[in-house]
Amino acid sequence: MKTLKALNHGVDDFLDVTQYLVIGAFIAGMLQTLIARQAFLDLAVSTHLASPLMMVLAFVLNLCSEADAFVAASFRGVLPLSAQMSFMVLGPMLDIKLIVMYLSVFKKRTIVILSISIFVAVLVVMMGLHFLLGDWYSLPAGYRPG
Amino acid sequence: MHESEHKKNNLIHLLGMLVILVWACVFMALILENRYMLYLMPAFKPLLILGLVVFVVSFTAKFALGTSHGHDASRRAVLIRIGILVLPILFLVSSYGKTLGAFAFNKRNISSGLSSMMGALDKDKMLANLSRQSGSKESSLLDVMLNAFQGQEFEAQTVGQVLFDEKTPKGYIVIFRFVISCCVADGQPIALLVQCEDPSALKQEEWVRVKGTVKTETINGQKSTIMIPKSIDVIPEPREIYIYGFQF
Repeated sequence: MKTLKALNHGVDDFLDVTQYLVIGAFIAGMLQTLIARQAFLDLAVSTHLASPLMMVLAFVLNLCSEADAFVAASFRGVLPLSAQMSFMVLGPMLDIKLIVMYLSVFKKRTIVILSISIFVAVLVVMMGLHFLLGDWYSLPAGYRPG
Repeated sequence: MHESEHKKNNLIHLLGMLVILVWACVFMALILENRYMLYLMPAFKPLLILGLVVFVVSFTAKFALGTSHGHDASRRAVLIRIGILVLPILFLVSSYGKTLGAFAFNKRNISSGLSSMMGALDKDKMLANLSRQSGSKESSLLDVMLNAFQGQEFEAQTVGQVLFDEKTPKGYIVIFRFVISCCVADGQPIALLVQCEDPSALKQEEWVRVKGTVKTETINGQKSTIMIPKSIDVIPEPREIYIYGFQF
């Protein structure tokens, strides 16, 4: 009886969370369908913009940790390493699906503070990484936007 | 009043159980005949089986306990929840059989794409994978592209979907496929330019088998992998639509 109750409780929790997962997946799917990836590349003409834009791309794409490495690798030689790292670091921590699921657990204020904190922390660390690895003001050799 | 409330609660409970049952049936349908491979990597089959077991057990638990247990949510909230949970099933039914094609290619293709990705991979592992393929008559498009990075001309036979639009260089068609490392959300297109003076006999997204000489050439100022074909044959849609993972 206790096992059945535990299972039932687990199912209810699952169904509670899944509805937000479905909504988040729907939004993520819509954005993937409407926004071309090349558009992000064309916008990232400046190294100042590359990391924030890759973080936005990670937020929009909602990829799992296994897949984001391959997607990040496709930008290799085109965007700075720090931008690729921004994509891989932010993705598992913050994306649309997660935000929507958090709505079922946390208050909006908490989610906003959490999201901003993660975004800023990743951006600051990756800016530091870029300063260590290369010239902040130059684009990678061979990249021509558009 | 109490009896009608009880009936309404029963109905909602039944609806909830029905949704769980439908999800279990959907998992079963995806596992049978490997239909899940339209959306996921083959490696996920055990997880799908586990998911099916969980849904069956959940249904059993719900059935055994009846209506007296559950969350303190309002009826309206529960109905909204059930409605949202039905949406993925409706999507699956309406989109079944549809795959990533030319539209997805244009949305997901980036100019550096495969060349950047290949630069990031372990070349020794790549070559080991190619030597395993050398005995087979037909190579996957990914293997053809990997081989092309060695810089030498070679003979190849591969399959892919046809694409030609205003961006395609004149005198060529694009043969493309999607590579999936986890699920269709991360699907990335790879493409090969194939010489074809008159593509009018081919349809967009049609599956073809191409055989010919592969080499690297500069087309419109960009280094591209091209094939000079000996034959381009239309084929039925293959069983495995996508190339699954970088299995080195």
